[in-house]
Amino acid sequence: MSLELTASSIVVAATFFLIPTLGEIITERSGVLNLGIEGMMISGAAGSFAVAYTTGNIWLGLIAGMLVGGGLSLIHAIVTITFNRNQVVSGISLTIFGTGLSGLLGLGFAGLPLVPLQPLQIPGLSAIPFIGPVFFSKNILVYLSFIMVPVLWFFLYKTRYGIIVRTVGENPMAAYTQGIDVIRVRYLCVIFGGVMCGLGGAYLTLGWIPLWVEGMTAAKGWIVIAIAVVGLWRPVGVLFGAYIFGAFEVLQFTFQPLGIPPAFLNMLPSLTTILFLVMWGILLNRSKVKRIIGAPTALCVPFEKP
Amino acid sequence: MVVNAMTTVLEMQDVCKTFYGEGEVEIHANDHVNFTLKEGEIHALLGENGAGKTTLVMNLCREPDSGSILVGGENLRLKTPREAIEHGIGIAYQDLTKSLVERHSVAENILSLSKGFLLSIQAVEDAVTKAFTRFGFDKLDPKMKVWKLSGGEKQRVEILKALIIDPRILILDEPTSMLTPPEVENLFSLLESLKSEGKGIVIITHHLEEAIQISDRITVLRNGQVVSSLDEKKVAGMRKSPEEGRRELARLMVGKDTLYDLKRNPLKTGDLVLKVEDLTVNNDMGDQVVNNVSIEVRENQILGLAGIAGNGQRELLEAIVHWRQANSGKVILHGNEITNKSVSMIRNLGVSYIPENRKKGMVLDLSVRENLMISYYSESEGPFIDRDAMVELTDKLIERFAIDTPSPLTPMRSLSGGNKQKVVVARELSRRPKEDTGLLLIAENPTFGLDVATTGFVREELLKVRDSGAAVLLVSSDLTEIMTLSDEIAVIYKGEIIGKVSTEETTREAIGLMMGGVIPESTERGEVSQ
Repeated sequence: MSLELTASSIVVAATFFLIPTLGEIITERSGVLNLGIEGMMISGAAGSFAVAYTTGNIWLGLIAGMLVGGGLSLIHAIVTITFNRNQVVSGISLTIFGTGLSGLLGLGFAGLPLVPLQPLQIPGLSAIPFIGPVFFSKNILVYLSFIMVPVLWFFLYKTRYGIIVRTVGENPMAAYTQGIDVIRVRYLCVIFGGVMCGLGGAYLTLGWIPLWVEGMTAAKGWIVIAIAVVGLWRPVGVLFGAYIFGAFEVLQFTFQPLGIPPAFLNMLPSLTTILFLVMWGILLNRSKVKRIIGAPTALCVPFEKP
Repeated sequence: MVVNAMTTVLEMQDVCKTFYGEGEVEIHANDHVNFTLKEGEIHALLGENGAGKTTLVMNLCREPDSGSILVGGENLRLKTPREAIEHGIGIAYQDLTKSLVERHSVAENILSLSKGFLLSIQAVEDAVTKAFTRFGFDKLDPKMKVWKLSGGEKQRVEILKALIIDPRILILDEPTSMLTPPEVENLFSLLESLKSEGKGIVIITHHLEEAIQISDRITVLRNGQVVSSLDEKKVAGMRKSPEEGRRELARLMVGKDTLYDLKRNPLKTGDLVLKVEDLTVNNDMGDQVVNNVSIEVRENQILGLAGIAGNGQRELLEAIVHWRQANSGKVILHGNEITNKSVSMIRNLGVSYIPENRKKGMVLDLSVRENLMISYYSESEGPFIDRDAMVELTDKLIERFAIDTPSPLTPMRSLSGGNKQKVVVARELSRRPKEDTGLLLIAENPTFGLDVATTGFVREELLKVRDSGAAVLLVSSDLTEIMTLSDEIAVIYKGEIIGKVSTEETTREAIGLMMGGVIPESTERGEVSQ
């Protein structure tokens, strides 16, 4: 495979990780861990394919994917925010539920062909050698993922709502006593995360591999959770994380002919996550780990009004 | 404009609030309470822990069960802090861990300053700096992360959060708990000037002296009810004779005429039990917060370690019992070095520890009996529990320490705070070293959050154990506790022992100043470094 083609494949694969991760970090920043990503992504993938195929309109498919993801995340929000139930249990249940739901939504659509989202050539930029074909002749969702990184960075650090989200995720009581509606903030953040997961699923079936096969996300949703950690819950951080993990995804096919067993390459994402966490532990002392790169303080902590 | 100084800004009529505890026990936190606040006055809410002071003001942002609340003459039911803020009520909360974001900067913590969609952190920082100047607080860098601040500085940020919305009614819940005495004076002069601007101020406290010093009126709560409401004249009278005033307020707060009058018998101190040499310890954040501390405690002696909370006391104690690693220095018990030895070995040598955070000294879901037994398991032999011996021992402890529990099998969780503390105290005090050496008892704010009766009880027990030959290292941020119990007082400030005096040769004021880092003339540096 040529270098250009490899790089291009990495961008395509990384986008699949980047879109949901950008949603998940906003969810986690508000103090809610959603382990249902896999379920929301695969349901989004099936739902969007079904709608796009039936209506023949790919845009309706994208919207359907977002609605399915958002709808599933709403279940998680109700369980964990309104009823203060365990976030881990709810999230894992959602994954199992979503996997089942995807089978139902995709019933009868397996293996059917579909015209995927077409690449858009960005005038000027797409003509640059190497860079152009790799980054600027992709479909609209790839560009959206590029744009979302600075947008979310700006949102988190430069807007009033960003600081509210971060405060809710660090210490919900501190936000509540200053007049913030913690419940509403958390709901919105969870739903945003769900919509992004659904969009990530839609990207898979409408953009990357234009068909529906049951179980086609192949548990890649879990990698999203790892990327959120590796990217330190920061938009720019997860951009790098998604591209590193996207590279693993592609390289496992590149290295296969060289005699490296695919099973080993499959281990790389989780191995990298562990190594990464160990590396931070060695590089920084405990104080910095906790204060600078740690998870949002109130992650997984239910909020109850006093 | 005619300013009517007597306008009532806040009126609470017949307010009730009930909580449901374990086993559907009803706790009447507010039981038909009436309370008024006038413009331009400071009204102190006085009471013991659990008397319902905080609950009463929380009715301003969380509806009461019944009763009416009038803010500026308008009958309101405020359901959230947002509504309270909109009606000009600023509240500085007591528990800073719940109201400040440690990882954010001072400016980022004050959400009410950011307006609109875009956040100009520079503008917020300028506003914070300006507010610090306006309110006469010492300058604090608004870019500073909150976790780097001292306890007093955090408390100032919290008070600023309440002030910055320019409230008509200002409510301060235990605002002085982390402040040094000079900082308290600063705060009080600020309150005086706010009062002259016409603000109504409620200050919640359990410090009798503070209530008398600062307030115009005092309302005393006990068990959720108003016991007494003292008017301006009465409080002014108390200011003239503070000693009598304190006595009367204490009587109202506790509901008993006789307060515990503790007597510390003069005793000759015995052998050296604990010697700490040049100990340095880090806190959880990895910063060194105990710097070369050296102390000695002997048999029949209580060494009081005075200091404002957060000056390294906890880390020092935890390093002695090796709940925490010491970086350098030595801990010597009865002549044997025990630095960083295993916790069980240290405890078996006769070290008892009453931690400030009661939850660290007990298992909430185990029964009272099991909690009383925890430290005996490691000392007993064989794999089985001798039930009869356990029942006999624990029943004796429950009786001797008057632990109020429905049954020895009741889970710890459902006991009141005072009784939980009694269980820990009973267990720690009843331990005896194997050899015939004196016990070392380490007590960290042992009466924190206890009612007056239990406080008296615990203090009496500390004196008894001292009389029986134990060495006691008492850490407390309560000056009264330090002054009444200690034979010797060491003051810790920013991780260093900045003074060591005998209780007989010092005054409350001198210790108070030292707690704020001021070494008075009378304490010679030579004595300090001995």
